[in-house]
Amino acid sequence: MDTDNREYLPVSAVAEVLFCPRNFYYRAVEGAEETNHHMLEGRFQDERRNERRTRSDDGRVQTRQVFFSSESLRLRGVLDVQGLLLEEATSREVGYGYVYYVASAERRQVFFDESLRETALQALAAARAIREAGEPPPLSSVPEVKCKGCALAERCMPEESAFLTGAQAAPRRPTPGSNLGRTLYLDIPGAALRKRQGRLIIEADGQMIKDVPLSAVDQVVIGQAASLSSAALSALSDLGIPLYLMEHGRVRSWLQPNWNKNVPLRRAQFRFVESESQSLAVAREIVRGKILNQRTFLQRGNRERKIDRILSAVERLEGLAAAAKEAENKESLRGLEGLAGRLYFSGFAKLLRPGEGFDFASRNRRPPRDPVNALLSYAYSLLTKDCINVIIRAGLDPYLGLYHCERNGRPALALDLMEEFRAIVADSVVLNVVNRGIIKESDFEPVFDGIQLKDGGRKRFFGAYQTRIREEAVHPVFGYRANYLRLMEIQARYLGKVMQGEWPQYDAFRAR
Amino acid sequence: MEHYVVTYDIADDKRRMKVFKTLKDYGTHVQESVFEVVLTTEDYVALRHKLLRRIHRDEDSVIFYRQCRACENDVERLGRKVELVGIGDIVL
Repeated sequence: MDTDNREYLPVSAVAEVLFCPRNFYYRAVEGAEETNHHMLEGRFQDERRNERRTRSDDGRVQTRQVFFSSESLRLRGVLDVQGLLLEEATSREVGYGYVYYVASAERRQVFFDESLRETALQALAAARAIREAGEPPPLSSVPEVKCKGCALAERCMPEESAFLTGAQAAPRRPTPGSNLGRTLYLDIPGAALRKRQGRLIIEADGQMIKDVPLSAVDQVVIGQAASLSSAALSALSDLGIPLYLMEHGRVRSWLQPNWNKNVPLRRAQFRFVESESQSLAVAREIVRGKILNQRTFLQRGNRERKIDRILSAVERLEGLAAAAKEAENKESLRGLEGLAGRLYFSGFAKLLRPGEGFDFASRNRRPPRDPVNALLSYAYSLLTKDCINVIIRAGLDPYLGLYHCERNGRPALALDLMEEFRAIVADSVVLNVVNRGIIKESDFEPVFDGIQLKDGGRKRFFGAYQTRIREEAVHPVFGYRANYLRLMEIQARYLGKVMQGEWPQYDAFRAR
Repeated sequence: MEHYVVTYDIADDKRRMKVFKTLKDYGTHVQESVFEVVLTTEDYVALRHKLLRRIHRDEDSVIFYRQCRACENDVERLGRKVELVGIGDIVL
């Protein structure tokens, strides 16, 4: 990679590379900013300690923090103990320093002997090499014990990597995700969203209707035209809380901060998409996963009813999934996908409870012309939003897809990722709200040349969708349980690691 | 995600107001001098840090009672209802 060799490294690079080369790579090359409570605790302790910066005692000066940089080492930073920079800056030999251990409140003297100096210089050379290579150092360079409590585990996925490379048994639980998906859904025309201290204030008709701590929100969805203050938007940016603007049940625009610094990964994504053979392999797997999940969904709904038409559809879907795996190009994949879709939706229609006033013959859209199609369209929009969310979290570009093409400015990679979750997540919500009477025919109103959900129904549907997204399922490869939102993020990161060549081949999510 | 009941006893009015406002940024005011907060470990660390900066350690007191999963469901609430924030979605 074309990095500037003369570039200064932060002094923390030495410690980071020694601690974990992958940690250094993610921070220095990908620009990772994830923190966790260990790091925060350390930062706050530093802050408290540094409040009194300098103190004079019997003529000697004690300084708690000094900023230094070194020309010859090309290092810069704020120092507590590092001696090498201090020597260059003062042209005097520094014989020793102290390390203070916060946890045990102990101070220990450290002598700057030859071997320590050597270690530091070697670490520095290693750091520069990683930076120039521009790709994650192998996992084998990391002692496993260091991954516990690492803020970057969500990005690095050490246990999953070790499992895929055959070094370790399948992980028992997923790396904890920091995206809890707690959503503030605002669907009131003319409402205002403002910030007051660390909270979001929602007003309608000049009255405050809700006062929510920012710490209780992981995502904001605006359903109808509202006014948003710039202070509120800045706060969301600072905290990395994405905001989605929906219009007529579709994703119009979004603001998703802090996650797009990962240029090496996006370079890999562009290279991967350009390679016809590599992108075809993943596209096949995506379509196969989609069709298998359609089959599983029909099978589940038909378990007791045993409708012949569905039984035969299930069988044929199986065959189409197998054919997708062998498809020669994306064009024939699209053909198989279309065939499967028609079969699947004819089965889906049979699963809708009769007499609910929901006649559904086949899929139509733009705009949907009947209630079930309107619900499906809305469910897919919500799913698109969450796919965009996890794709950007994973550092990928949502617009560059490998199966869907990027025409009309569609978030093609989000549509790719979404395929394997359509039936199990979105269609499942639709079937549920119709068959349980959560949404009724009276919840719809006609629009220009179609039909749409009224305000109340939209809110109830959103609630049902959120319930589904929090339900758990087993990951087909790693074998652990996680909720659907987390599973989608794991799949997005999976895709990223395949694109970067870290993990062998992509496996779609398949419901059991 | 951890669930805490936070109570405070602050000797000075001005400081009490600051503590109140700090807690309001993280949870639900359920009773006079009592908050319930549902927080990630990171937010908990940040809240504790902010409170430590605001209180006088020899005069004031703030107590975090952590609620385990089982205890959470074992709470009985009589009278006025309060809606806790931090647990799930807010649909408006």
